[in-house]
Amino acid sequence: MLATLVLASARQSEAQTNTNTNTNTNTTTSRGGIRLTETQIDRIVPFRENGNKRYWISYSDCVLDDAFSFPFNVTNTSLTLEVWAGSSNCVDTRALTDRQQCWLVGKITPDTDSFRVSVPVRNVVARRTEADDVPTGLTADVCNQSEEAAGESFTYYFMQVSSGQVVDYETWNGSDDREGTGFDMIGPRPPSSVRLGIGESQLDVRMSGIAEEADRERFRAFCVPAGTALDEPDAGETVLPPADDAGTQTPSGATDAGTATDDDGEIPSPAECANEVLFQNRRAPVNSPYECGTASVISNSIRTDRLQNGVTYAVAVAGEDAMGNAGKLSQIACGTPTLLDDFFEVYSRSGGPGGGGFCSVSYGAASRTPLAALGIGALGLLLVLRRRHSS
Amino acid sequence: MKFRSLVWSLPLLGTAIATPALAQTRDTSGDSVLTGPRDQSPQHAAFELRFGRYVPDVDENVPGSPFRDFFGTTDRFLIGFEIDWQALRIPHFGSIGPGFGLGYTRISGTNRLPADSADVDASVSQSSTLSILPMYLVGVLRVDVLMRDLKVPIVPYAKLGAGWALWWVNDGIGIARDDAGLKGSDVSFGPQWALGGMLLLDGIDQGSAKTLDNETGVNNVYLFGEWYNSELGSDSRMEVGTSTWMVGFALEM
Repeated sequence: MLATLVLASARQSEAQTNTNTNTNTNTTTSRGGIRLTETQIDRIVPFRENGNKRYWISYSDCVLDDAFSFPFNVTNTSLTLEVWAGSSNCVDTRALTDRQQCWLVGKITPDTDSFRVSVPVRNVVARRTEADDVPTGLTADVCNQSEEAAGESFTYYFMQVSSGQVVDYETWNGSDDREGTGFDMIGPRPPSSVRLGIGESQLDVRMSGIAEEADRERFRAFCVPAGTALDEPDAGETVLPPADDAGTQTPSGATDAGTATDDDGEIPSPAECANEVLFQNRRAPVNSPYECGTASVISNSIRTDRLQNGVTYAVAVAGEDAMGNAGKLSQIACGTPTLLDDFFEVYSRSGGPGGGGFCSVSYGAASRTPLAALGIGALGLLLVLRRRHSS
Repeated sequence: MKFRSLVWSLPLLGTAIATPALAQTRDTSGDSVLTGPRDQSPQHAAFELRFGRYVPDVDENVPGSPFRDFFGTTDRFLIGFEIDWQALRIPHFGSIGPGFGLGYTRISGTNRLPADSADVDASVSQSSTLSILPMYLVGVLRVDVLMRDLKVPIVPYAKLGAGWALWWVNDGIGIARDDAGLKGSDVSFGPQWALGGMLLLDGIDQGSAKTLDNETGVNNVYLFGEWYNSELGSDSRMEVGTSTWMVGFALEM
């Protein structure tokens, strides 16, 4: 017992200096009886590319019920392995009263010395610091609980426990990825105002009032035909459930006078383009069939994809960060693409000749003459050069 | 049409005039006709970076003025380059040889609501663009006797040849099509000529000019200006040529 406490104390001081740093570049790490093979850590949702917080948990990861899988080798299979997430040393703060920065996210009693521990990301995001056991039956609603705009970083603690005491432990916070591990459920803010310019089969979405945000990567525009209902086949199965925000934030951007606001601060589309899909201040859908254009973070306008002329669309914009977190939808504007006359139509109607493509060569005398002249000229030059060379 | 036939034959005429000079490989001073004065590296070519006003004469072949009505009268500009091979040197006169040039210009204008549209207050923000890529192959005659023998830093020149231009209209989404579905892109061609003059800049700093020649082979640096005329179109092709001024920098090497 005393030896165990001494071991725990020694590990504690080591953990305090190593928390949130990882200088270990080996493929496996080991402290005595527990060994994590970092290169074989896996997850259900494919890893994001390097530089995009590949070990972090995004909103869509949470809604899609992603889970991390950690491979271990242990020497003592009779010990329970607990997995904790925390922003402070969880080895030291397993005691219930001290647990404000640590929470239990996984547990396994192995029956072999080589096994994998699965940690559902919802267990991490739920942040149940008061729970005595691993949470179960969590729904996608937990994905809406975090209000940290910049997200929250933490370290995984894998502890072998016997009789309530930590026998051995391992930590992990992202291997060689300097962005570490964490979760971020909040997307960037939208522009405060959206105006539409009309085009043929297209709308020009002009944004203004764009607040600066370091993690904003792009803007996405959504175009929903007026009258679209939420249950229509076109809504698609990949559209995530609407956010169930606490609703304490005030709406960003102007609203139409007299437009009702629901309890969540969500504002429906104007009557001219009313629909059941787009609501100002609602989290933007992910993988939506109504997405109609994107723009980089340095742009203040979006040219939509092809739309139908004569159809009125409700159009809104949302920001997106590098992890794919979509922010709330902007003010909604209504617009109708319309048939327009372009220059070539105007020119042709006036009787202007030409057109038909670059290969539309008419093989008449007028078109042969320049080619012939060039050919003869080149031949003449060649003859001249040959005579000069011979002289 | 007769004028055009005459124009096509002029490059051949120019070549024929220069032929007797080819019988000589050296001029009376003993300098090689292909290498120039002894204190310069060999000179074979010229390169021009060109810039000028370019408003195509589209309305010439069309009843009314659809181009001016749609795009307005604002000046547009072209940027381009030309490479000449100074193939033949005529002693105490100049050089003659072929040249190839390429340029690019683009003109934009806002698409218009149809005349019978009821939605007259709509804010249209979609544009059409007419892009033109003119190219040409010309015979170039440069009269550098003033510069070489009389030390007057002016080199007049003349160019004559054939040009052709790719053009295409983008309607804001893709290549435009007219009411019959005809694609808004094509090739137009015709004759072109230019008359101009080059101002030698070497005199500003003779030492630097010599160093430039020694290190890079650039014999002379000029500022040039020319009047440029192209007739790229016909009864069956959009007229995308123009009559305009061009300026730029030229290097001989």
